[in-house]
Amino acid sequence: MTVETMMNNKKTKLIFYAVVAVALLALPQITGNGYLLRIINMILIYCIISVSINLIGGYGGELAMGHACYVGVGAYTTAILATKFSLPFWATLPVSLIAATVFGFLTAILCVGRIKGDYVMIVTMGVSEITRIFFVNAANITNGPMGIPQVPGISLLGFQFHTGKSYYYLFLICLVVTILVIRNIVNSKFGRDVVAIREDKVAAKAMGIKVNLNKIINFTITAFFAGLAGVLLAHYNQFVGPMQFSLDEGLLYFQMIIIGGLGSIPGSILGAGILVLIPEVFRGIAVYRTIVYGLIMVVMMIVRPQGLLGDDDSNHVLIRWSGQLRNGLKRLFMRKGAEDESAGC
Amino acid sequence: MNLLDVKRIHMSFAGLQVLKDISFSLAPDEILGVIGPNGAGKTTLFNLITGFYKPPSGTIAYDGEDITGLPSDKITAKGINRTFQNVRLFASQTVLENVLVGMGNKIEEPLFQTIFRTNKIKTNEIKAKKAAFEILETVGLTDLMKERAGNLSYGNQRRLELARALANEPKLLLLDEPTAGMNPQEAVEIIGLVQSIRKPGMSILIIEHNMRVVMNLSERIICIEAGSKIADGTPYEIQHDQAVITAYLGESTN
Repeated sequence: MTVETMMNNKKTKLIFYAVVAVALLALPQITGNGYLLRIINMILIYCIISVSINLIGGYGGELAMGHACYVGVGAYTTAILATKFSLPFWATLPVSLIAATVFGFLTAILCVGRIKGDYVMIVTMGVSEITRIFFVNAANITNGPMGIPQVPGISLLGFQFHTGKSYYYLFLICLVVTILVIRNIVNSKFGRDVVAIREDKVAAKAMGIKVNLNKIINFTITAFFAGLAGVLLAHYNQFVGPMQFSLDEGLLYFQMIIIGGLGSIPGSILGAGILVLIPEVFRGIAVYRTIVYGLIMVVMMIVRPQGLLGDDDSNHVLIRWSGQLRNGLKRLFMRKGAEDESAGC
Repeated sequence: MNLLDVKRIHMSFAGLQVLKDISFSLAPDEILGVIGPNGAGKTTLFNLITGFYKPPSGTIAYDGEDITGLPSDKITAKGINRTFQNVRLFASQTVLENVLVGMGNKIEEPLFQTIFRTNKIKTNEIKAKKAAFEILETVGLTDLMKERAGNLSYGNQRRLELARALANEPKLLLLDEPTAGMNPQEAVEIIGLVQSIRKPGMSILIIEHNMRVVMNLSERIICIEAGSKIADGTPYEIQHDQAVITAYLGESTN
């Protein structure tokens, strides 16, 4: 509580942001251009995805788990345009963003109306998998399973990005813009409507909210930022391949907001940080990565479904399911206890 | 001219006839009570007027305009708003946010400007919050403005639902059992509240089981039983209507 009241103080807030800003600007000077900075850069890209995905997955309560395909469309579009047509970055960027956004918009149309709850999850995952299969099989455009190597680095306004440091500042700017945009949306009429629909769709309709339109716009915005992350990823890695945009990847984005916090921007950043760092820290047992993630997810769903920094008592579908899961477990163990007693008699 | 004209409405769910040939009208500024035993079809009537269901036959005219079968968001935009029998608030949002959501199209915020949070958006937000604050003043919830709606007491949740419905300045307010589940003291407070929010240019359609409430509040009452309208008149006429007495108490044996 005291921390909260402190944070509400405008002066303390300003100092807090100033300290964070200085720390972030100085960070690459401490780390140097090596391996550590590369991980930090990856965290920044994943943060762009997780912060924006929280708008649909956390605030909106829709289980959109197929966002890897929009990252993929963004990455592939820019990679193809840059390698096969040798277009400069300022030309490939808008085209790639439009491609990802339009693709997101088309998927969103499938995910409204009768399709709700877990079916949104199935539709989005299905679209994601179809897209990956397209990347693998449309070999004359995408180079198939081989992927597209030698994607040129970003060059913008005569400046050629090639060091980790330069990319760090670029990604940081992109992330800050993403956070500001998502924050502005959340603190507006549109954002309040998004949460209202999650909390009670019937009441939201009665308040005059166009539920389907709101969901479509929301989904499209997140696809736009996923596309942006994809473009950055393609040029930073200088390689694009279909395995980067598998179903696992889309689930990973969602795991980030589940761990970090549903409906929380700091939570999204925390989640992305944790899930990018885990495989790096535990490189030795990388084979068991999915098992570890799975365990984390199960424990989170039972103990703290809203995530580390998430909303306490929201009507998010995952929190409802978690309640059912806990009740089920309770009943299971209580019945078992009862049987033991009767056996003892 | 009548504000609301419901003509020969029928409604059935999977072959079960819920409403049969209901017709009634509501004059501007009037408070009309709707009574009837449980399961008579009162809430279904509300759902038809607010566009949640589409009637298979019959018409609903509002302000001289046919609104039958329009989607609920369009109907709300025309100035009809409602509360629910079982409170349906946006539980994780604050009290103020609930009212802001209720203001709907009264807040003008184009999405493109929202993204950049232009000055227009900022001033509109402040204006909207002031208006929402004023609405909360009328129901007496300003102290709890920053509280989550889900944490309010039951009585206050009812008040908030009323405030949220008032937020887009409806011309027709539909109250679905505003005193359901309340003790007599709380019910009296809600009646006072409904009377105090009454103003020229707003009609109220109220479903109520509490006879004292409905007789006090309404200027006219219609009674629905098993999907049919059995009476329509002043509270005094309804109290002495044989069909209404039979519906509530059963037929006398002799």
